Amino acid sequence: MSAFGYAYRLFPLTIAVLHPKGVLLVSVNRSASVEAPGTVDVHLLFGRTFRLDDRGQGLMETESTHIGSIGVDTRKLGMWVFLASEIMFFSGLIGSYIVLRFANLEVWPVPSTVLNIPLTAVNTFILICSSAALVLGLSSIQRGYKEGLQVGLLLTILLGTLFLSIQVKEYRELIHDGFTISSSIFGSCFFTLTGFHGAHVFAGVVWLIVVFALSFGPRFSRDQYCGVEMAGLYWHFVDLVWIILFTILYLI
Amino acid sequence: MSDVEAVRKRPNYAGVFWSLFILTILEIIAANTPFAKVLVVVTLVILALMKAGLVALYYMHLKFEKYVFYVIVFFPLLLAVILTVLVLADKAIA
Repeated sequence: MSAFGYAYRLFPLTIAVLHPKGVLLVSVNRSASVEAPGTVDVHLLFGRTFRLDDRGQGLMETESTHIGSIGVDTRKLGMWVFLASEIMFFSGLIGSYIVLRFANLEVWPVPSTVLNIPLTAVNTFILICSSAALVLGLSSIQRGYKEGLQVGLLLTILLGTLFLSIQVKEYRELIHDGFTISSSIFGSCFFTLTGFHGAHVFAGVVWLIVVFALSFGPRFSRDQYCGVEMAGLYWHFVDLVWIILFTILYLI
Repeated sequence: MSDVEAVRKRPNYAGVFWSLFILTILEIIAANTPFAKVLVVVTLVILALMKAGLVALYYMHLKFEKYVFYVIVFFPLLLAVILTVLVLADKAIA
C-alpha cells in the first residue's frame, strides 16, 4: 500500500503526505474516477493525479484523467483560459494607450527623444534569447534529457533577471531626468504598461525558479513535463507582450 | 507516433529565434527611416505582428494545438480591437 493509501485510510481528509521517493504530495481535490469505477482520483498540486481503490490502496499515478471530453488536456486548456484573461488585460491597457495617444497627438513626445531605444533593443533581444533557451529546455526533457532542461531553465532565469535589472536601470535614469509616472500622460502610460509587464516578468522568473528546483526531483521526465510546458506558455506570453510594447511604446 | 516522428514534428526553434532576431533589427531600421510616418507605422505594426505570430505559433505551440485554443485566443483579441475602435470613433467624430 502506498503512503497515500495509508494516510487516506486513517485520515480521509489528508491533504499532504510524503511520497516514498521523498516528494511532498499535496492534494487539492479528489473525485470518483470516471475511467475506473470503484476508484477515487486524488488530484495533486502541479497537475499530478493518484488513483486509489475502495480500500485506499494506491493503484497508479496517471496523466490520462487530464484529458477532457473534447480531447484536450484540461491543464493546458486552463492555462490558455488564464492567458486569455491576460490577453484581455494587456489589450485593455494597449487600447487605452492608443486612444490616449490619438487624443493628445499635439503634446505627445517622440519616444526616441525621451527613452533609451538602444538599451531597450538589447533588452528585447535578451527576452527573445530567454524564450529560445526555454523551448530548448522543454525540447530536451521531451527527449528525456533532464540536464538539458536544467540548463535551459537556468539560462532563462538568468536572462529574465538581466531583463529586470536593465529595466530598473532604465527607470532610474528616466526618473533622474524628470520623466516620471506623473510628469505627463505619456509618462503615466509608459510606467503603467512597462510596470505591469515587469511585474509579469518577475512572476515568471519566480515560477521558473520553482520549476528549476523541482527539476532536481523525479517530477519531470520524458513522459511528464506538463509543469515545464505551463511555465513556458506563461513566459512566452510575457515575451509576446513585450514584442508589442517595444513597438508601440518605443518605436512608433 | 514513433519517437523519430515526434522529434521531426518539433518546430525549428533555432529558425524561429533567428527570424525574431532579424525582424527586431528590421524594426529598428524601419523606425529610423525618413519615409512618411504612416508608412513607417504600418511597417512596424506588421513586423511586430509577425514576431508575435512566430512566438505564439511555434514557441507556444499554437500551430500544433486543436482549434479550441485558437478560439480562446481569437475572441479576447477581437473584443479588445472592437473596444479600441469604438472609443477611437468618438475622437474621429469629434
